[in-house]
Amino acid sequence: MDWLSTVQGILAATARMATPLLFASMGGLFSARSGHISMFLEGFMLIGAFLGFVGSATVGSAYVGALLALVGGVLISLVFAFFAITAKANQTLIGIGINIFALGITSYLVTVFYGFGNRPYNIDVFTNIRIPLLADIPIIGSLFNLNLFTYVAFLLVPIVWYVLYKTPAGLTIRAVGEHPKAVDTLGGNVIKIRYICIMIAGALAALGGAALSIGQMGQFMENITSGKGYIALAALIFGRFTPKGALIGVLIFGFADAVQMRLQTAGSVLPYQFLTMLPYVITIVALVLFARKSRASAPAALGKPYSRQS
Amino acid sequence: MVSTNLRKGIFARIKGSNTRSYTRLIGTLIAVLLALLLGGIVISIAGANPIEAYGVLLRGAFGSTYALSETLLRATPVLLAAIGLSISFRSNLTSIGAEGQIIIGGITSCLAGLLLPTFIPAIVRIVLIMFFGFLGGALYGIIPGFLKAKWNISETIVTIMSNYVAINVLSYLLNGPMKEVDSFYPQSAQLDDALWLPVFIKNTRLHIGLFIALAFVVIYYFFMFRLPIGFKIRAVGYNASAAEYAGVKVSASIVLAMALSGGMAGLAGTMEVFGVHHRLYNDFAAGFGFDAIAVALLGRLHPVGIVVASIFFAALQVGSGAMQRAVQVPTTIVYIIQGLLIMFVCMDKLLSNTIQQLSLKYREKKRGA
Repeated sequence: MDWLSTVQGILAATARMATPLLFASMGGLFSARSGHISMFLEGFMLIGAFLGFVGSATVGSAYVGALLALVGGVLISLVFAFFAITAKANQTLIGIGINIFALGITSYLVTVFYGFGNRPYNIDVFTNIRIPLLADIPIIGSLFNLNLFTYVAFLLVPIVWYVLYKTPAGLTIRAVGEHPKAVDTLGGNVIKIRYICIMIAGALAALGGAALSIGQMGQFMENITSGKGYIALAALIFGRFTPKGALIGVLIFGFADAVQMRLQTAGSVLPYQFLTMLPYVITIVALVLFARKSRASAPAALGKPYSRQS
Repeated sequence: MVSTNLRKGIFARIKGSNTRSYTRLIGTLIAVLLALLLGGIVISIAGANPIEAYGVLLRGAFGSTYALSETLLRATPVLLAAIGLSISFRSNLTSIGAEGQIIIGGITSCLAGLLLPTFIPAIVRIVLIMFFGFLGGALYGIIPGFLKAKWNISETIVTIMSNYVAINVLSYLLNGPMKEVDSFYPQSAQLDDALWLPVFIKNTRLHIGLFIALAFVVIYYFFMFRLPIGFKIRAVGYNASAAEYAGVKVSASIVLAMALSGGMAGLAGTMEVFGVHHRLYNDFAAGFGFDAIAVALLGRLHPVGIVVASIFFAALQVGSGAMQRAVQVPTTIVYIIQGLLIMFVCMDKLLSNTIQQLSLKYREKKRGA
């Protein structure tokens, strides 16, 4: 049955394509819910993808790569946090600045480290882990033969949901994004909480980037993320800044990407450029369709730096 | 609600006029210095001497008539696009769309150049071509503008997405309908040489587009700071609800700002096609839109500032090529400096506050002594 293997293939590809986006959008939930315009996800992912590759290529272990990506993500996120929280600068512009910087530094260092066209290609990557029994289920069995990144990404959704909605810490995070003054009045440290949220976003988005370089491709190239961070942010916006909504958004993109790739390899009648632009067009269309709902759901203090005087 | 917004607006206005322009200038200079300093550290990672590298860069950008002409040539489209972006930035619209609008303007103007019948005098065709280039970019800017005005959809995300769409549209056209017959490369046919923008310094590529761009700088100044419509656009950026209360049609103003902004980017694409390449191909203006963002911000959205900043950035771009050849520092260093600059320039609140506090302390000390 040919269509059966097609369905299986697309299901698994959807999960694979959704993985980096899911990491970034779960991280973005923390930064956005605590009141930050999260343009920086793209740059954090890029840094993570690069460091994951470097770690794996240098030490020979993909796990070291992932760890390095995580540390790098936290460090670069501190740069954003300093500019946005301490210096109270425009968050959109700082985010764009971070992204251009990340594009520059990763393309620059990859050339400095490995020269032109001399990049290690046989690096250690996260290989598929087959879960016994579950992987034998017809059709959806393909979803249980994926790499560790994908499993962790999907496990993150309920975990993030639990943290944000069922713990005191989550309540404080959401309050910081809605009404920071109230948190401050009750003795909470708004600045500290916001720094921590940005650091979580940095760690998770960078892991998302590593999921690209040492999870999917086994390679790093300039601008490997090509807008995935922005797509993750778009998923957050039309997912109304909830874990479940973001998951649905990310799955739509993952599906579009999976179908697009399948059509490209199958040799479709459409020129490939139309398939490549599909995820970007879908992002705009999805934003239009879900716009009215998301306006009311955005955190009230989004993009506003906190200071006690105002 | 309205009254608090009005009060806020008035308050911000008074505060704004009190911020001395020299602290802003100092803030900008500090930002440039910091970015170049950190850039120097990154250069030394590549094993080069930063001072030597910057020296090569300077000579590569200004060292000869040809180098200077190349720098001005590179500055021309970025200057135009940055002036355009400033209109949307002044309206508090964070548009990242210049990159895509330049491409679309390049496509529409090139199509006009290829399709307009030759019995029309060349000068008329050139004017029409510029019009179509402007129109293409403007229409591409109206889409995010409309979505923002109507449904409050983030113009930042829509413009970023439409950049990717534009790149793919260009690639499709050059591999399909617009591809030069019998050509191996994905490129359009060469344009009629009667339509090329004339070069005004012999043995260089510097064309009269530079003067067109400078004319637009003057137009920008009068439009934004002397005409009521420019005032309205700035008022919306300043405080949208107060402007609405005062009778400004905010939605219309947003769409207009995005249209003008896109139109200028489209014209920048036209310049590049008709002034430099004389045909359309992939990457004919790659990265110009992002340069324009940094230039607009570094120039503080001020006409003179933007002219200076565009030359500064063009020098970095042109000089980095010489730097890569001489001391093996990858040209991607430019993006690093660009990103750092955007961040440091945006830090001016902290910088000018610190400067003001320092000068206050200094004066108090003086009084005490």
